[in-house]
Amino acid sequence: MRFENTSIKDAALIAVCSAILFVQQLALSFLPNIQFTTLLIILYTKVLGFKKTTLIIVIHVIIINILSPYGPLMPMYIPSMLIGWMLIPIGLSTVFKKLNSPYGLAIFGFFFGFVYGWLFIPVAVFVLGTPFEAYFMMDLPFELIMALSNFLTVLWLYTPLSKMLVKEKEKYYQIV
Amino acid sequence: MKNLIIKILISVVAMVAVFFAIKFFTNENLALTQGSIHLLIEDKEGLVLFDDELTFYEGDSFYDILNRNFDLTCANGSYQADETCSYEFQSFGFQGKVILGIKNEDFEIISDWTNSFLSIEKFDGDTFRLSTLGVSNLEFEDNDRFKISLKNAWE
Repeated sequence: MRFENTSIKDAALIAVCSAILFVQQLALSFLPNIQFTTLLIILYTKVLGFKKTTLIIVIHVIIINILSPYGPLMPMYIPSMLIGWMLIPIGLSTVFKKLNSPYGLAIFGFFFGFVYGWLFIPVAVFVLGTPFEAYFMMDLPFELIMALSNFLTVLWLYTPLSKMLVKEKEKYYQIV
Repeated sequence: MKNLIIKILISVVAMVAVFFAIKFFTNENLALTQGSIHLLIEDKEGLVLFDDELTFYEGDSFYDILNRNFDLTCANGSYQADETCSYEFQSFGFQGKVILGIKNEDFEIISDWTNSFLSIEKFDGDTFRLSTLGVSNLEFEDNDRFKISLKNAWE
């Protein structure tokens, strides 16, 4: 019975976290590459763990491509998007497992901004036939914006949000 | 308190550094001398509507060349058609005009941005390659060849 309760609570928590991720990305989508997605995925990975974060990311990628009023991504870009966001929980659960300080995570977020952009290059170059150099140079300002956005949001908001989420998570799982 | 000041300083330095980095990578690509480009315009079916040389002058952008030779319809801030072409996007990371339509006395092609768009391609010596820059920032030199065609956004 207790197991079933936990499963239902997990499912509800994953749904709420996915909704938050979707809504903030939608609300900020008029600003190019400025979002809280990286911050929230880092937060989810650190507080909720790898498995739940993976499910949240999968739901987020599906939902953003179905429900976004700006239209879906080209289907060929969806694997790049999924792999890109999954690099955060994978990285923070393996190589960067010991990274916990807001400064360290902010630097991680900064470099992630570039890596995420580069994951879209193979599709643009090999599938759409865009010249590599032109695409790389054109995308660089957007990668810089995402890197800065990640750096600042993680640096300033990771600690207070992390404390709040840990507290809320404890309260949430205590209620039977 | 000290920690807060360090955080503010790091944030300001990061913002200034990224601002200048973006400025460095964003070129206006204006013509340095007089010359000419070859332009091909096709409709949705690939029918050639225009195939000719266009002259440009020092200080021209690609948009200036088109604007001098054709009647353009641009996008306003909500991507609606605006024949005055008075709106210019000024967002950080993407600046310039977006053209939705192009016409002269002999032809007209118009896109609605949502389902169709004007594809701008540059000839690289072997084939036409989709441009990654818009009409305000597109790089061009004397004797370059370009193709503008109406494309379905979903194909």
